[in-house]
Amino acid sequence: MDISYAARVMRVSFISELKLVTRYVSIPGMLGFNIAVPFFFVLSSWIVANIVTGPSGYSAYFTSLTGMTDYLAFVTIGFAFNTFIFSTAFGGAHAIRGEQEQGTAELVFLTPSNKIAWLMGKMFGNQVFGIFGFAVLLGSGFFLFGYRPQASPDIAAASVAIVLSIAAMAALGFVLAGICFFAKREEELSQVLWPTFTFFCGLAFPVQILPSWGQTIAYLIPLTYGVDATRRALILGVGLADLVMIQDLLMLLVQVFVLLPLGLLVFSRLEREARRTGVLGTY
Amino acid sequence: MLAVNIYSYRALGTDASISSIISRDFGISNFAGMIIIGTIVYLLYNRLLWGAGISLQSERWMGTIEALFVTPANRMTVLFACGVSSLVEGAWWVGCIFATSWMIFGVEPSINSWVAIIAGILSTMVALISVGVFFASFFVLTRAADQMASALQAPIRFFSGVVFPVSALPQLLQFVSYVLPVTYGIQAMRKAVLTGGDLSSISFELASLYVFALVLTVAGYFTLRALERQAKRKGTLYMY
Repeated sequence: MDISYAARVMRVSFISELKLVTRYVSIPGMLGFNIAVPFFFVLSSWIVANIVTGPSGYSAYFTSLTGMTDYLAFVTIGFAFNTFIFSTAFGGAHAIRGEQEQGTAELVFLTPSNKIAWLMGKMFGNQVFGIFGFAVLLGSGFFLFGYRPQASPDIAAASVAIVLSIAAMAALGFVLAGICFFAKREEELSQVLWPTFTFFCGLAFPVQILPSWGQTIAYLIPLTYGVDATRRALILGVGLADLVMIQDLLMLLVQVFVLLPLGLLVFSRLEREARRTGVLGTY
Repeated sequence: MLAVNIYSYRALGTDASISSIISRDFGISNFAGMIIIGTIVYLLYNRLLWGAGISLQSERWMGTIEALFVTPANRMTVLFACGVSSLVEGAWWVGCIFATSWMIFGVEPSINSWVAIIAGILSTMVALISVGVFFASFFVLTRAADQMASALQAPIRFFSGVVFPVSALPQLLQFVSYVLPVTYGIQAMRKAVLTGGDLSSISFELASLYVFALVLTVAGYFTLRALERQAKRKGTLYMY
């Protein structure tokens, strides 16, 4: 594989995705969706916390489960992760669906360019808005909800957790993109999977309160480890040398090494099958 | 998301302690039931927003909007029919969600008047259809209807009190809640199903729902006329 050629394809695809979003989809719409959805979930959690715990916002029950004193900080980081789920897991499927709807999917997929690089460019293009949404949510948690970390945040550990989570979720992104050739239902897929991740991965509550079967599912999804590690780093100030942090990151690393090649393989197979059966451009 | 909302409460205390707080402060004995009723009404609204609300925009995407607008058919009849079909289409899965969540989380209903429940459901549906009719006209004025519909989902879910009683919101935010018909639909259904409310106890909510239905239908009608005039003048109706 010609690496420099693949890098060029990825760069061009990245730029085209950014242009599509900024010129056609509209920035307010994209930002509104990336920020408004998780922001209002955090607001809801703020009201729920006020109802159950009163103005103090402190719940001994929650602290006994997580070791954290600030429920809102916990939720803010969880929902900030929400933007990564969307951008990484659904960015590829969204791009393919877009090409199908615009009637350009066959043209794109019959060029000799590297399709994995093309897809990654699209995912990264979406990720720009995901990262922006993540930063805005953390900022709003800090300034609006008075979220204060219990210890000095370990940015390096959080960054490693986020990067590994994105890499692991990209595997799912490749699979969903491949499925989109046949299912043609990218929106429905995301509407089913997004709440599923939100529920099982503990974005809004600790996974420890799930029934045991629910916890089993939770620990099979990379996002569970990613969000847990990021919370520990940003709220408790846990660094890369901490044993629990190492466990989380190792699990993520294993999932990246197992899932990413698997995701790429599934995508390639599905793309070949779509070419063979002539459904690349149908919608 | 219904389960996420219920577990958000469970993260902060045991079921018994949360139920006693909700009962003490808001007169609702079962917090899961409160969320389930809120979610069901919100889902109906959502169905209409994405069904009737997007209907004209869909005609534009499919290239049939100009054909639709040159027929002599009454536009409002078309929109209302879209609203009713969206309700029928959405009824089965909303019913399934209600039954499933009832079985899993429990609602513990306290029903005194079935008439109040039926009146609450019908009035909510009438108001929500008019929401769909209004948005159908409004969305054609923009080319970003799906983004607007998506962007509206989260704030409306928050302000209409799907997850908590609206009275739990700060006073200033409650003003926003009370200009949303979904709020009254949720309140009427919670009173009728969870607190044994009869027709007289939900009369304010029912009256508010019909006022919304009237206002939104009239607003939808004038928006549609404005849209039609603008489209004929500029010739841009089919563009997206």
